[in-house]
Amino acid sequence: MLKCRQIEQLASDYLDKDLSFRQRMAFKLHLFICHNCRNYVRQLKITITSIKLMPANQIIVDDKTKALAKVLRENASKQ
Amino acid sequence: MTDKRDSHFYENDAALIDAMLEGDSTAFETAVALYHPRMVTIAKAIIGEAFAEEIAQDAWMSAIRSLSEFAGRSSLNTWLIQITANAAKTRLRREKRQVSLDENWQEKETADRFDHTGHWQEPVSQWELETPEAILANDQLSDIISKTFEQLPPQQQAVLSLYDLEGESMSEICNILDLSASNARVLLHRARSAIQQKIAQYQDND
Repeated sequence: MLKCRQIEQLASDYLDKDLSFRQRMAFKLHLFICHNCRNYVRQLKITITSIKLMPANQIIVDDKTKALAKVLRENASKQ
Repeated sequence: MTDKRDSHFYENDAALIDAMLEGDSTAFETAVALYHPRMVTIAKAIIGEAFAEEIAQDAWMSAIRSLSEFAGRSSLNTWLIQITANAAKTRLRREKRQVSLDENWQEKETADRFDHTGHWQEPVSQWELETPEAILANDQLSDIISKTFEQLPPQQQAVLSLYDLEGESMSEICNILDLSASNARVLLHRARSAIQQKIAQYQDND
């Protein structure tokens, strides 16, 4: 029987479907009887989707970016 | 001075590259703003903080030299990451140094979550904000996620970024970062878990 600690360690593999059939069954059996782990796995799943949905619509162009971009453009023009 | 721009100002990689080949300064600034932080993250993950910026800048120089030959077989992002990873690995061999990354990070925090029998110390509650949309709509939580991501150790940040944000396969990530599959999966889980714990702290205290 898996312990809660092992469920925590295997949770990403479970959600990414990277567990063997046997491990998956043991994982599910634990979830069936443990509401803390059910909540944890649900929290992790929400976290992963939140990370994937993090907005990346804006980029920051600061002085450092402009300086490197200028050097690169000058180098490109020499070629 | 800092400007904020739309990351999709150029329609696709080809449009961005064409503009760069024409010497358009906005295109260079957009490319650097989009890709340089990712390249530094990859370099840090391979060789550590000290050389990362230099490696990323050298990688840009190589990329610019062969930009006109970029055939678009991969995305510009993947191409730049591969150039950076190769440069970092070459430098690592030259430096003949072992980079200590991520060791012991977060282990204490994880260990404290369980008792000696392996059960949760504290009950794990259901979150009040329990959809990703609700979480990201909360400015403070959105900020917590971004800040925790930025503070992750380099290898964790690189694996999370490549796997969850850019959708690279685990085998490609292992290849880029020179990691075993089991190490990469542990790093991915630690990174996700760090962010989950920060969200949980916020939701539990709210």
